[in-house]
Amino acid sequence: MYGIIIQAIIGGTIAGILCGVLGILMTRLKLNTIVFSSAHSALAGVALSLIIPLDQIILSTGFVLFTALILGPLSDALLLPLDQISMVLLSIYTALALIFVYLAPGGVTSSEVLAKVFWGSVFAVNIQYVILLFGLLAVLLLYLSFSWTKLKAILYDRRLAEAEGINTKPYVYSLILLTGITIVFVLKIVGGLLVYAILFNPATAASKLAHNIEKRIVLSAFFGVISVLLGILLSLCFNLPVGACIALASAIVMLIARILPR
Amino acid sequence: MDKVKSFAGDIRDSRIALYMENVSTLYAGEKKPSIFNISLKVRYGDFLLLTGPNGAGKTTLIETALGLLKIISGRVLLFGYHIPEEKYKALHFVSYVPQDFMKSPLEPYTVKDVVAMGLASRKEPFEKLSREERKKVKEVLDIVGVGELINKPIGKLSGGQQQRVIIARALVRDPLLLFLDEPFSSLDPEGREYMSDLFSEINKHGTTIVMVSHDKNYIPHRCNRMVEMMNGKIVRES
Repeated sequence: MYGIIIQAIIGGTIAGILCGVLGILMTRLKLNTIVFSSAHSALAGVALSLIIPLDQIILSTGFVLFTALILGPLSDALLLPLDQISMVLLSIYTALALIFVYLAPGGVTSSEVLAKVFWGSVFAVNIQYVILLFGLLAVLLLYLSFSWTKLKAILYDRRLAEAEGINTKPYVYSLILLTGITIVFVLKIVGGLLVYAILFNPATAASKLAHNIEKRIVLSAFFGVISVLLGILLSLCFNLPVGACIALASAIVMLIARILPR
Repeated sequence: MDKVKSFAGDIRDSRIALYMENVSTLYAGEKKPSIFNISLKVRYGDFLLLTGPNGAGKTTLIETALGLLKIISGRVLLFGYHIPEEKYKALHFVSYVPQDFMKSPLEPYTVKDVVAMGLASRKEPFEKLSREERKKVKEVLDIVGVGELINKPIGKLSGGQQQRVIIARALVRDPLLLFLDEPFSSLDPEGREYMSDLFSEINKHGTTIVMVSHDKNYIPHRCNRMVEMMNGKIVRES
């Protein structure tokens, strides 16, 4: 039992850092709706893993990659902005997830089925999962070190950065991809319906308190970790779904931060 | 083609800074072109004033030249580079002062950060600003008159101060071609006078300038051409 809790704490800490950092970056780029559609595509992937014999990470990664690939061409073909296309996809993926859960062996009455898809579980955290999360964090930190000078300009004003000769697409698309993959992994702990709470609540909290972008990223990561750990603690103490506890903890952190003077 | 040596390498064509031939442009999500069959030639060293009423297509023309909009017909070349195919080569030589530069008070960037970003496109991965570049950031802020605000958050500045900062960002790049979109819009009369002289001085030293303005009271004295637009078309040239 202690082993599982320690793994959950380590995994939760890394997940909190990942979500805190990516939440700030995606918010700055005004890509929140794309995160919503990615989260729901991952949710549909996990739900599909209930009815076909493939690993949930493979399926949800497939859904996230598919979403990342079709968003741009769909937006061009239908002459609609990305955020509107994202909202359309979000509703489609939610519908698919519900259908897959409905068709799952054992049906929707199975608490295990619901936990796997909707609210996550600390018992999903094992050593391989922690290693994968750590690898993802290493990739994110490498990406930030590699691209920070240009990325900072893109985060300030993407259009102006493009006008000054920075090809912004590879930077933005790789961030969307990294966020999508992070969602796939974090979804195991938090569940599919609440994953964006841990992406955006710490970012909103940090936005109130930090005056520069670097400090804002660090503070958001810190709030992400606090939210996840507090959520796990609440879940274990009161035997409640961990995803819901993490989402509530992140909302509490956000509210406290917003009340505090800048 | 002639070659000109500059801070950012060689350019392909040193005689024509901007060449547009029968260009029509479309904004994303729209079906009707915003500018129609525009043909324009801006020679190296020109100071061109682009004028006309709101909605005439002045900003669209600049954004088309910068490769920010979808060109549905015609040809655009910046220093001989085809836009949009080769825009990232061409844009190293270009600076842009946009019309919508205002940031909210919560913006997490200082004045220094914003100006330094002007040099970001020329940086290699992992590369940071050199000491000389940091010095240059301070120098251009002094030139535009906001040197004492270098460490202030950009969003806490007034509109006029923010406009000066965004002009400093354009100048820190030592551009061969400078696009200015309503660069006096937030400045007081004294500031307009000062900036007008500054742009003339920059042009005198060889920078080509294309300036959008609907206010003909502040035309920099070096301005040697005027193009008037209306309803997405060029209606007069002088």
